[in-house]
Amino acid sequence: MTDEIQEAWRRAWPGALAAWSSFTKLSEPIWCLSRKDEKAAELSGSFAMIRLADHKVVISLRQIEDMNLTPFATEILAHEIGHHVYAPGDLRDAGRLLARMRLGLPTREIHAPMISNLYTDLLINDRLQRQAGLNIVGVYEQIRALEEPSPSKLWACYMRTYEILWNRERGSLANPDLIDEVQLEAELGARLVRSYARDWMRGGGRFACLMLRFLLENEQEPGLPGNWLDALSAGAGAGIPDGLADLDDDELDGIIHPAFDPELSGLDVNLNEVERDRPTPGGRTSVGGQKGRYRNPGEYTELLKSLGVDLPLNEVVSAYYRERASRHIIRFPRRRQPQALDPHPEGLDVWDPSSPIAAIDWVESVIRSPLVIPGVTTVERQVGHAPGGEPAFDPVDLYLGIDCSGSMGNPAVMMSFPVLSGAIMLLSALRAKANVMVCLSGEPGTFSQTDGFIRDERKLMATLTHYLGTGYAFGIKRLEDEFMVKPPPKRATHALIISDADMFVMIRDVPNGTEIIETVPKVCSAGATMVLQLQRAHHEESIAMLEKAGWNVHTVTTMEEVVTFAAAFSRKTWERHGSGTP
Amino acid sequence: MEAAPLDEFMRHLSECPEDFLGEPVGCPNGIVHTAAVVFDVLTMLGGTPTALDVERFEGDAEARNELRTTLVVCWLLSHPWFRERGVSQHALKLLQELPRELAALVTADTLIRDPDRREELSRLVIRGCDAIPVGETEAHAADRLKSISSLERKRLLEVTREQVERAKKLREALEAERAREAASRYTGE
Repeated sequence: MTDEIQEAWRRAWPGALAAWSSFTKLSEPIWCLSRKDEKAAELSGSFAMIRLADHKVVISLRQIEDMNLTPFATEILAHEIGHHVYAPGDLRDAGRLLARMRLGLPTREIHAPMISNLYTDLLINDRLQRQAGLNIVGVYEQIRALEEPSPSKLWACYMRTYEILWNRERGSLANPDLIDEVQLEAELGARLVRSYARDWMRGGGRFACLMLRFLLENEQEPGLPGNWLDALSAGAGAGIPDGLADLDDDELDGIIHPAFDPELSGLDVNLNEVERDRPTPGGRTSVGGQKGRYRNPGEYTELLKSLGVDLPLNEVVSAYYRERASRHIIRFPRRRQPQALDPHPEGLDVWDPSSPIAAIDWVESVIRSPLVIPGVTTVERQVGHAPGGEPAFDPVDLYLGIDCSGSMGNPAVMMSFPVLSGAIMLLSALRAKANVMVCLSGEPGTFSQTDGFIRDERKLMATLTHYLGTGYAFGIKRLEDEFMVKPPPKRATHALIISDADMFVMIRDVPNGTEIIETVPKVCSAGATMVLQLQRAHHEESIAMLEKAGWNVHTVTTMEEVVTFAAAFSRKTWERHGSGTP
Repeated sequence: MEAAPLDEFMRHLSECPEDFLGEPVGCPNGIVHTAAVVFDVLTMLGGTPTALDVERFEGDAEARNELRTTLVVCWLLSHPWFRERGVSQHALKLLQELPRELAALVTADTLIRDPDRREELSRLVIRGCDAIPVGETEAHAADRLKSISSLERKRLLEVTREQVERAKKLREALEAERAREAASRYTGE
């Protein structure tokens, strides 16, 4: 029986795609015929689901048969396709919608994925029912006929919304005993779905505010009937989408209960005034001036968790700081070498298939033999190098030391500007093909550092976003280990330390502190910089000592200024050595 | 009960000409004589209105929205379905009551622009003419009208305002807490 169903559903797939557009393309669903298949596809809690990671639809034909939904192949398949092509569409938009949902559900953020799922289902179903002419209502009527009415007010509201949207008889879908209690929310929900169908992201926060009452009233589970939530784990198995560290311009504005939104409440004000400008959808104009706002790392982590992204915390935190740093990354400064090398052609050699095809010198090969036999008649040009007239650029390696003592916040929970600044420097260095060593230190106590100068961005970011919270300052013994115990670095290296006034205490406390401080600038041929958060006037003497030893000392009054420093430092100090565009 | 084509009425409303939405005489820059339009419509519907019947449709700026709403209802009643049935008695009663009720909640422009309001006005007029929309039972029609009724929504909004305010305050308190948390950054020395 299930094979016949599968064949029928397979035949319905093109029609379901066409319900959205004749150009819609999506690979055929994963058909689950047994519990084993469902387990393999990680389908649980629903008879269908979407996977945004690989743009897949998973359908349990076993459950569909059990629920007598086999005649609704086109409807159910088109609904699942709608999640891929309409709402949410992709992982980033799913994340943006979830962020709005979470803001609209204070204390009930845990239910944001469920409310998001219900919202997108409403949008998709209304469009399929009214514009594509599919019998979506039939699916719900079928279920309603089989099951006892749900005692959940949230579900009653959701079903009543459909009744209003599609002009169905009272109680044909919703539990008739609960309709009066959910009538207002359902009316507003229906208006919201229609008003924001084209700009559904903006309606997300409003919908969450609308549903919050039901979640607050029910301390336990919202009590929805099973099997209906098909996008709860849409982000499972996916990487981290870009763009979620930013707050959307209208994200906070959109957290408004539809009852307070004149456009949605349907009741006008200023009834006798001459209308000048038609209100924007939603009846509220943006207050503006909110560009460049970000959620904090803790919220970002929670958001990705809600999205179903199942990655280790350090990777998520790294992604956050990488995204925040990305707009500040510049080409890292490079130092001029005395001479560069010009390529110089030096005869021909046989090209063999292990070499790149692009290396074949076709003219010479065809001159040698009009019949080309790869590896036999093919030749490639050998190139030597002679000193040229133009200077070459050599990227400067970066030693990045960051104070991670008790006074520094945990970058996974709150915004850490030293870490963000470090990310800007680190990613800039990697872009310029330099090597980087990161050392977090909170001493006396602990430290964490990469295994020397490396180019593995993942390891570097993981070390950078780690948290120690021990000691009182960056331990200068780490500088001794790297630059005095080990042989001096062969490549040009710049040492950069981010700390605060406690650094001076550290220099005093370490027996050979002054020696370390004096040695590092000499070993690091590209310079040494210390960025310190302090009141400069209070530490003139100590700063003079550092500068005399060869350190560039940059003082800031808040750690936020270090971000500006990180971007400007390379341009103003290092690029000048390059005297021109590197 | 006679069945009325709701969809046609809604479309007819959406095609309301600019002339019907002009400023009523009595308001600044008024150009449309509402009483005259009402008189003409009632006559078109087979009635024999008197000057007394339409006297109340003279007004001033205070009644601007009510007068404009009256004009919109007149436009709806000019639909052939009403003309063919000669519903002048129903129409007079509707014109005396309906614009006043609706004008207290929505503008005449919204009655044309907003699909829900178009449906509401159409249903109210259908009900006022002792008819029901095609394909609906009396109970279904009544429930649908209740679902989209501005009057009913206003009542429900007032009842639930307290709940909504409570949720809003909770959200604002949480936002404030988050903002404080975000502000408590490292302060240095």
